[in-house]
Amino acid sequence: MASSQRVQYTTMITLKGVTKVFQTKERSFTALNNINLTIEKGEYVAIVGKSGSGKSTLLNMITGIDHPTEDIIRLNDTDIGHMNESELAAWRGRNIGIVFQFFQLIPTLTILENILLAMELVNTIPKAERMNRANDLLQRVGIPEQASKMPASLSGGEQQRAAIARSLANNPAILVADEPTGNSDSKTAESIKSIVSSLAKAGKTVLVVTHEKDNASPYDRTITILDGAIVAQETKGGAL
Amino acid sequence: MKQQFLKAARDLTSNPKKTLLVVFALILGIWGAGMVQVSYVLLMHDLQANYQRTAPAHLVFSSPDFEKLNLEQFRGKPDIETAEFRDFSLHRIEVRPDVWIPLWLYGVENFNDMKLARFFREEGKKVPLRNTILSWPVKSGNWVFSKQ
Repeated sequence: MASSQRVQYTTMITLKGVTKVFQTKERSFTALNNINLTIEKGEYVAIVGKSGSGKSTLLNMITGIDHPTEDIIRLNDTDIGHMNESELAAWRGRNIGIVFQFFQLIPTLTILENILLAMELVNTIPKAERMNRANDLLQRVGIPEQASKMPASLSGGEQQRAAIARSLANNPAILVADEPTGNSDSKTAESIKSIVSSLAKAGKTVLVVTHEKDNASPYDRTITILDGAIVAQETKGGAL
Repeated sequence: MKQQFLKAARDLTSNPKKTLLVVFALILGIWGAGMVQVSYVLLMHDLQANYQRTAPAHLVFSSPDFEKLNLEQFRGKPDIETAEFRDFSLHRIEVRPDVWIPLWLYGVENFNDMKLARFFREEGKKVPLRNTILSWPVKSGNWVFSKQ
């Protein structure tokens, strides 16, 4: 989506002065320093940075997996900065789909059961619809024939597709992917990027964390983070 | 709940050795905690029973000349249940060359009718013979009453 179209967006994610300091006995380490960021509904955003730059910490703040030291974090009009753990877990399950670099599929459940479990835990999809929805999602990511297999019997790319299907189980408004292609060969990486891009085009707000800039960037906006601070933002139309 | 139960069941059956180890550890833990609890209850009960059985004195008068004390005066008081004499002397004994330990000797009016601060034998003669002392002979390794 071109930057000129962003005027029609509504704000989905707001971060104001988000700072995260990790304290050890010897020293304190500022992983994020006064991050101000707004992401619009339906935007496809990449957060780019080298290892240790703070991009995963930023993602953990947005998903509520970690708490900032100082913050205002609003997602879809909800202030998540002051929720307790159980409130956050329930909110996260309903509103955010997360794709991890190492899939995090439950090894003792089949691919289909992994997706059904996500629905069962959040309990927003009616029971009668769950099986059809899980099969549809597997169809959507291109692995319907793997439904009854255990994760260990699938290739890395197939596992990541399954993880994407699971992340969509509860139809979240926001999809967050932490290095989703970091563990894949180039061909698999392309197919996963293609799936994620199609989700963005379908209207999901998508955040992808990656350690390298994509020359053929499919993103509406690329945010570069260095030493815990945003150092550059580029849209398809050019630098902001 | 179906998928959650399924996951729990598969987790338990996917690695039976690990499951057995966990179950064993749980049993051991519960057994250990149970033992501590049971021991505590028994010990508290026994301590209570033993304490009451010894009927410890509530008040001790000591006097260098207690032959002049009139026990009947005490016994006659309305709030005193009973009173007894205890002859007491403090000594020291040499258990090994140059190794001395304190020895507190109590004399009892009647070994067969102690009403206060009672003590009980664990072995040996209930009433020691006259002019004997409870001692720990090196050879036998048992407490015996031997001649002074």
